[in-house]
Amino acid sequence: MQNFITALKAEHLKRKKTGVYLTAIILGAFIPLIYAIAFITQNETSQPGLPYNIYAQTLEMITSSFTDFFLPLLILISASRLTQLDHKNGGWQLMETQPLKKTSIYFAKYTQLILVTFVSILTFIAASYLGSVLISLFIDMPENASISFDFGLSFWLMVRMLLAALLFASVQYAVSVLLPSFIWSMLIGLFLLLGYMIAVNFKAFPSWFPLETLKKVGNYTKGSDLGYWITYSEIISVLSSFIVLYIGFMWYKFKSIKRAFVSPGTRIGALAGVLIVFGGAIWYMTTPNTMSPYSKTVISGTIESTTPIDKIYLADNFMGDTLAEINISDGKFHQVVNNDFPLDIYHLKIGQNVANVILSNKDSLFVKLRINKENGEIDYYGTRVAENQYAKNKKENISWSSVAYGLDQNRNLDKPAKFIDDLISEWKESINKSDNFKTVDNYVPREDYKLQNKRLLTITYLNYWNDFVKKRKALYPEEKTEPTEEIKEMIATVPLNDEGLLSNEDYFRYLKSQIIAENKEEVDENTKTLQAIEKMEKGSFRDKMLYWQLDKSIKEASNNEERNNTLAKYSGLFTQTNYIANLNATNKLYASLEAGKAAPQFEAIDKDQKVYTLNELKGKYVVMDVWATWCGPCERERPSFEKMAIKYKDQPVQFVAVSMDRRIEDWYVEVNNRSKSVLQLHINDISKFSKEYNTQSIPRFILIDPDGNFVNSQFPRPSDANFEKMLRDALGLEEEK
Amino acid sequence: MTDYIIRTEHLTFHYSKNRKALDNVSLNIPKGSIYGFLGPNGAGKSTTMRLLTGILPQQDKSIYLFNKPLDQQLPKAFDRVGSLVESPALYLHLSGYDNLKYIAKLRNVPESRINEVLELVDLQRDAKRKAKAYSLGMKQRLAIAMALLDEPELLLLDEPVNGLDPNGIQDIRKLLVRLNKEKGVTIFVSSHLLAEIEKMCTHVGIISKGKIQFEGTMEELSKKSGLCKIRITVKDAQRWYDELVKENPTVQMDNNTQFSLELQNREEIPVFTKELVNKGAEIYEIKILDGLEEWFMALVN
Repeated sequence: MQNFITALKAEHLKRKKTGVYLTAIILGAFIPLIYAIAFITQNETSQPGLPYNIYAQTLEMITSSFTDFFLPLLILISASRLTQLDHKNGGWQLMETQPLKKTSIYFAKYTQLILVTFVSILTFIAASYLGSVLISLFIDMPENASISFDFGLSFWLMVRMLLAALLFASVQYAVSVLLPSFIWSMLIGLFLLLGYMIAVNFKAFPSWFPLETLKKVGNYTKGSDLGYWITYSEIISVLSSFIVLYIGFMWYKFKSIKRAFVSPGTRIGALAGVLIVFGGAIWYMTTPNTMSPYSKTVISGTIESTTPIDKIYLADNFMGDTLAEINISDGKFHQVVNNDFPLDIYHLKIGQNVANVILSNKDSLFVKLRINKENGEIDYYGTRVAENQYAKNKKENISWSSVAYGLDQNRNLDKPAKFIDDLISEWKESINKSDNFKTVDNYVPREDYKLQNKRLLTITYLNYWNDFVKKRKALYPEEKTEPTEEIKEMIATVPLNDEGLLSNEDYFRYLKSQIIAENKEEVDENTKTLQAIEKMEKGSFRDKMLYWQLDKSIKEASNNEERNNTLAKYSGLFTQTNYIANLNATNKLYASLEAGKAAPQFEAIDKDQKVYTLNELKGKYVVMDVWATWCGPCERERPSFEKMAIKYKDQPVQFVAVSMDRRIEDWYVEVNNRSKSVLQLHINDISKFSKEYNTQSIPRFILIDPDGNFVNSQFPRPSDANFEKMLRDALGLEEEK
Repeated sequence: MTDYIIRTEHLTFHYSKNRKALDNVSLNIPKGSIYGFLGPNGAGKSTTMRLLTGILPQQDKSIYLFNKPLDQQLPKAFDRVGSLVESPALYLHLSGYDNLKYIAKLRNVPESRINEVLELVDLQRDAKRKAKAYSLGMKQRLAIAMALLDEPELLLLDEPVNGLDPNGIQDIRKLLVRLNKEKGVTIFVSSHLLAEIEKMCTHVGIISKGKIQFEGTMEELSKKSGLCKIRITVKDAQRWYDELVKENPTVQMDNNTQFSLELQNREEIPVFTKELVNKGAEIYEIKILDGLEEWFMALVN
């Protein structure tokens, strides 16, 4: 040990004037400072939302660029720099002719490399905090933002970065020691680093891959979900570095693979021993875990809210029926529920907010909720942690489907082979993503969920396939579009009677296309489907199918009479009456939006806080544009809407833009530079308006007559020529030539 | 029995199966000697040096240092050994002083010793400069200073005067002789220049193509090498040539003013000169043409 410390001190003397520490500081501080400068100069008004710490947010934003690139780059450069000191002028031989053990020589330099790495990590943390302080000084701090040095977060993040870096450091160090050539060791390192950065986008890497451990830290700055200090990935890094250090050291000591590992026989034994012990431990750590079911079904959690909330509700995903009422005291809740919960998505209703939870019988679910007026955030724990995180992750990173887009644009309709290729590869990719998902603590979804999720993913792609077949049939009635073997295999994996999947509309669409496939009669699809459902066996499965279809029929019906007739004809088939009640409510809503019906009253304010009601707008036609600042398509319709408003300003018609923004501040900012010919209003009670006007999607345009009755509650968009045609028609103007 | 500091018993080494770098090399370096290890480039000098220092792992266990097997006492033995292998191993980005400080740290030598060795190799004034800025000779001297720092009992020097100018060579030579005389340091020095070895060594070993051709003291060497060739610059060289060639068939004319001839050994030179002068020859210069050199060349080729 004394020998090692001597070597380390000497090593430290030797790095004088090499600039390794300076490089460490520069690479550590680079990203935090660039981030701070960019943040300040762009001066984006940060969105109000839940309370947050600027420092923690900064770390979350930038840690991955440090761990994915700058830290490995530093390790690469420093390993080369430190070993080249001795490669260049016979330094290795000089050291080996001193009373120094080879272990001291090898590990003192490695320790020096780790010290440099540590300095860089320390600089990164310090610069991140400094940068955050700068940000807080130069920008207008939003009310919900604060700045403080979160010691626990910083400390464990540093520890995790250092441990995760050990593996890449020992690999790159071994390469740099064994290869005297500066160029080769740099090239190998760069190839590894850049190759990984590119390949990781297409392929999942094993947990023991040198750069993977670093990436994990960057992806999960907050660390373990289960309250561990470090995660399994850092442990794998440490275990793998033992193997790499052993191999690197023996190779260095004996200067050839043969002498180091082959003869004499004891060295094979030693290598095998190291590989078995550490390899075994790594294998154990990388094996994914699953949560075991609990003895009861429990919903528990904590809630932080700006407004007092004393109850939350658990509802099903199909019709929104309340399944359990959960009492909250002191921001905590814990409830054993006794209903039957088949594995599915359920809704947790918290005031205005709804969160999805995946749940089945005998699950103990724990959620952390943070809520204020405009925003909500949910974190999942408990026996379905992996399932819920997977679903949340999927929702937050909606992957753009080129198959769906191509289908929408009618691409490749003449090239079925190409379409099928794309479809299969995208489907496989999504299945892969599902298979490879694991939490920060290496937990994966249980088999029941995996199976269900794979089926749902397959259903999505089979629906694309069915749409494609339908489109081709319309375009090329003479040609047949046959499924390939792969498509047939996909079809074979999806059962036609899985009631658990029926809360998902995609499955209904899929079943629908299956049951009407043979029907060649000249009637519309909805009717065909209802006829087919009528022939199905009585029971809850048929109930659900019927509900989906009737709901769809009501929404797509052209008039009241058609809706009433359909309902009257088929609602007798239900075995459970709550479906009928629900459909009647929908029917009523659609009936209330029919032409000639009085438009529901609403209250809104303009930008000077003046209150308007629908009554006050009577006497003129009213064209409403229902929109929100965050809605892109709304923004695209705006110029046409304003153009129409100017063109018809002398006619008895008032153009009104009605904002549904939850954060009224956003609307204030946006509305100032709008055309004066459009009356800009913000709805006071958004949920009431949304319910009564059934604004399921925006932009939405509505025409109301001078008496306050609907002319058309689904008016075309102003970019559509029908908008002007129908408006002129209502105003009694001649058609324009 | 003589106390040998280094002994090798039939040392053999091959880099690859078919190429023997060393074949049956037995060396015996007595305590207190300056041992010259002589051989042309590529003869196996450096390989031997690297084996002696353990930089190359031995393929058999035939090296003994301080009367004990080498492989059992590495790296501890380096407490007593200073070495300069494949010269000069320096850290060019550090100053001369820091280079020595580095060795002092590694060997636990007090820093005060640094100035002593700097003085010894006459580098005090340049101690603060970076080694990068040193001339080749200064680098060589610094490397020797590094080897000397811990006052070793044994110095292993691989071509220590390589690339030095004549002054530098002389300085180093004097330094080594002094160390040997005053401190009793045993010195093992390799070179490809016979003249170098001849001037300072007490013992010599000659290696060629991986095999030892000769080992013994300097006296034994000169006896073995036999004849001594001299060249004489004299007025009327042709006349004296004609006269001498009758008695000594080795005489040959070199040019108008010089002829050369072989004597039995060096001791004959004064007698021969006296005779020639007595005969009336006007001698300007008598030069020994190094019989050893030629013998050496014959030996190694």
